[in-house]
Amino acid sequence: MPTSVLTPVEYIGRWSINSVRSLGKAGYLTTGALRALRNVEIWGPRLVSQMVSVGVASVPIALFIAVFTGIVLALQASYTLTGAVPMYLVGAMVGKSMILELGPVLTGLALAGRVGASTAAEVGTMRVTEQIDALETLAYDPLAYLVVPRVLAGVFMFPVVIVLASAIGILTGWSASLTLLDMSSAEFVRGLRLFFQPWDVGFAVIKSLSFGLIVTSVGSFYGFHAKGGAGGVGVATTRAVVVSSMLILVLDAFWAVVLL
Amino acid sequence: MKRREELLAGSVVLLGIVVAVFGTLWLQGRRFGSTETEVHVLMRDVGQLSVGNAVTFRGVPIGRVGDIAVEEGGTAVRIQLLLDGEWILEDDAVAVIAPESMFGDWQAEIVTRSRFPRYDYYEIPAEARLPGGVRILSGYMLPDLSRLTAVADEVAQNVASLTDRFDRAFGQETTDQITQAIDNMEEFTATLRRLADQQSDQFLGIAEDVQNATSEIASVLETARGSLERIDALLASGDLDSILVNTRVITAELSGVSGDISAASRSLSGTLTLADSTFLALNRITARLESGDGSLGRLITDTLLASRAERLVEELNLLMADLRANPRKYVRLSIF
Amino acid sequence: MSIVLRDVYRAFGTNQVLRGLDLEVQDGETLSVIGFSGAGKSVVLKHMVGLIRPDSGDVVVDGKNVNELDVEELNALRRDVGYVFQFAALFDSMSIAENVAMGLRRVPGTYEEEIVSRVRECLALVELEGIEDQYPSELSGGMVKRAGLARAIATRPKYLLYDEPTTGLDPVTVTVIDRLIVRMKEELGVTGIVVTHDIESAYRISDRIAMLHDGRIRICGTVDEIRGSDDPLLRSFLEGRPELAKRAS
Ligand SMILES: Nc1ncnc2c1ncn2[C@@H]1O[C@H](COP(=O)(O)OP(=O)(O)OP(=O)(O)O)[C@@H](O)[C@H]1O
Ligand SMILES: [Mg+2]
Repeated sequence: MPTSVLTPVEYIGRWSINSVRSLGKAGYLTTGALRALRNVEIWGPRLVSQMVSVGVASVPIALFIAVFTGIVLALQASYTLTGAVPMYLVGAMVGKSMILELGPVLTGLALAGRVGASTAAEVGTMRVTEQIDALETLAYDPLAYLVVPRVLAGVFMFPVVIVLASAIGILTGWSASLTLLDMSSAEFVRGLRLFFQPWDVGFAVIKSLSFGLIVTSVGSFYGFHAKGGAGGVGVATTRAVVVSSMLILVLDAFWAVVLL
Repeated sequence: MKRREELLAGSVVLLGIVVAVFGTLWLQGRRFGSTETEVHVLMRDVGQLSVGNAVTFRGVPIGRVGDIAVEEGGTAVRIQLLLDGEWILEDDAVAVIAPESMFGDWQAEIVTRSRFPRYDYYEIPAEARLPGGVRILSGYMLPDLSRLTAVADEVAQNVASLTDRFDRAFGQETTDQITQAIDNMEEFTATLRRLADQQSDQFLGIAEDVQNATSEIASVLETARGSLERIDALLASGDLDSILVNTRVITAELSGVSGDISAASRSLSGTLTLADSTFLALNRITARLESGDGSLGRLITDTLLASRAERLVEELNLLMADLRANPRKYVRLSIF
Repeated sequence: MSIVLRDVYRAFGTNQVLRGLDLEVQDGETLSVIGFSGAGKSVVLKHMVGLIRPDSGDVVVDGKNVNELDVEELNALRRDVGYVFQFAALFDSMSIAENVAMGLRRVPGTYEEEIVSRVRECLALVELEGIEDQYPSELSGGMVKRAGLARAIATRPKYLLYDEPTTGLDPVTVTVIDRLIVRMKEELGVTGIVVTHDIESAYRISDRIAMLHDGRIRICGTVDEIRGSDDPLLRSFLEGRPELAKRAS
């Protein structure tokens, strides 16, 4: 190469090659993880502790976010709905947006930070300190040991955390309406129920499942392919959070198109 | 340690499931532990009614829609209503499906047939499936504004084909008059459509318009009715020549009336006037045609078309009355 | 059975580390691998357990070609191979006892009591009694290293690959580990490959010594042959004289 500066064409070429390579690695990891699902004796005992660290430990942050989201939603809804529109729609807006959108997405983004980063950092550290190699020499499939329980815990626990968060968000929205907006409980509940459809909950759960899948597998992916020392783990962690946050938003739109 | 983790994870998962399941049931408005009465409704079309919508009786919510499914054979829809508590419905109980508020949510109201005898309830076929102990009611759906437009379209088409036949029976002049009536109808349809398009942002204005227009129209209608009475009489007499002469006069009168009103009050007032005059006229004419009175009636060999037109006009009249009484019901604001 | 590497090539990007390496380890012998830092000694060891796959060439362990094994077969093979990592690679989220027990848990039909006693036994072998419940971060570098060794020998493997097992240990502990390596060979018939920079220790424990240079085995022979060799590069390495190495290359 005559110069060290890449021409745009070379840049695009390198970018494409890297993208294809990443896709290949991701596919390899996915098939490996699917195959590793058979090794229940490896991931089974690890599942509960991962459910605790992915799910249970995420409950406080999720509820914290939900509490404030609920209050803000109620206040903003009432601010938007002045005039001819009846106040009970505050209930409808809080319920609908909490269940369909804000509960899953805000919680998902928060957990992308919490779970995605910790997954990438843990797995990445294990990679650069050869702990993953050590696992292999001890006849553990690292995908079964590290990735499968994390991803399963994510798929299983994200919906649980998100359901709790949405419920808390609605409850705080409700109490904000009572205390700050002079609405009656009956009014709020009428609005809440007016547009509610059981499918909304199914939709939220499907969304949450996919967020859990994405956050944990993206975190595992970047951790698994971390290179170098602490710096490499840092890069992996950052990428994991950025990419899983972006994918959450893309998935959000995807499900809205496919399922609504 | 391990046991503690298992306990922790287990309780959070259980809590999540409990919240999801009971939250859903509660939001659906289901009451826990109390008895329910199941009632089925058969009807042609459910509009935008969906599972979970309210069931009311004399305006009071008494249950919800449990399930909606197309009947075997596809000729009807079966709606399952779940009423809270024990209910024994009157013998002539029927269900009317209609929008509940202006926000697009629908409801099923249980009424008696004698209260709204003119609605075209679905007649339950003898072979309809009857699950043990479940009442099956006939249902009728009040169409919404978009449906109104569709019906008006259909009326216009039918009138067009009627005119085609009139054309064969009368000369050019009469046809022109009726064509004008059709033009009015088209204008009416177009206005309705515009109305439907603009409904969300113009809701308040429209509601006010409707109030003004209805009182205004009341007086003007008297004039119109006088004119139409004469068409009536003419058709009854069956004298073709006098029809030819008088129809021209009357139609001119009529269009004058509707022109006045359209100019006086814009959009809806105009629409209603136009509709009223047109429909009353058509109503009478088609009534005559169907009953076979007068020479005109006999000229129409296809009575089916005429009766169909009449049914549509009847439906439109009902709708217009309802629209005037509850304009909010038809103007939908879709927020979500 | 033994370990055979035949014409192995391996590059990392543009860095051609192994260039047609041939190496044969006899059953039951202890072979020391010496070579300059960065020569690829760790890479060679990793080839033997399939942690790194060759670009070309064959790696045959226990009569099986590592390249051709599927996941199950590779895992079965790995149960027979213990690997002592250069930097121990202990699982830092687990106590030392759990670390040592990891391999044992993969052996079907092992009872918890057996595991506990075996863990204690292995830790005693590396002179680390009583630290079962401590975590790797609480140990000194040398202790971590020995814990890694304990983990590798816990499953009584047929092959033991030691990547610098004595680097960074005090002289007394070095002797303890050296004796342990010899005992593994003599009492259990373990085939051992020891990567080491400690040439004295290599003389003590090895049947043969191989020198890795330029991606190939430059010299391989018995301890006496190595002692008596006049290869300038080997002499440079043994005597720690860089000027000899420069002249040789
Ligand atoms: N995973 C890897 N990715 C890229 N390069 C690697 C990798 N592993 C080893 N290398 C390269 O291979 C060469 C040999 O490394 P190796 O660790 O085998 O050296 P060594 O002989 O064990 O050295 P030391 O005595 O210092 O441990 C080095 O240049 C190193 O950069
Ligand atoms: Mg090394």
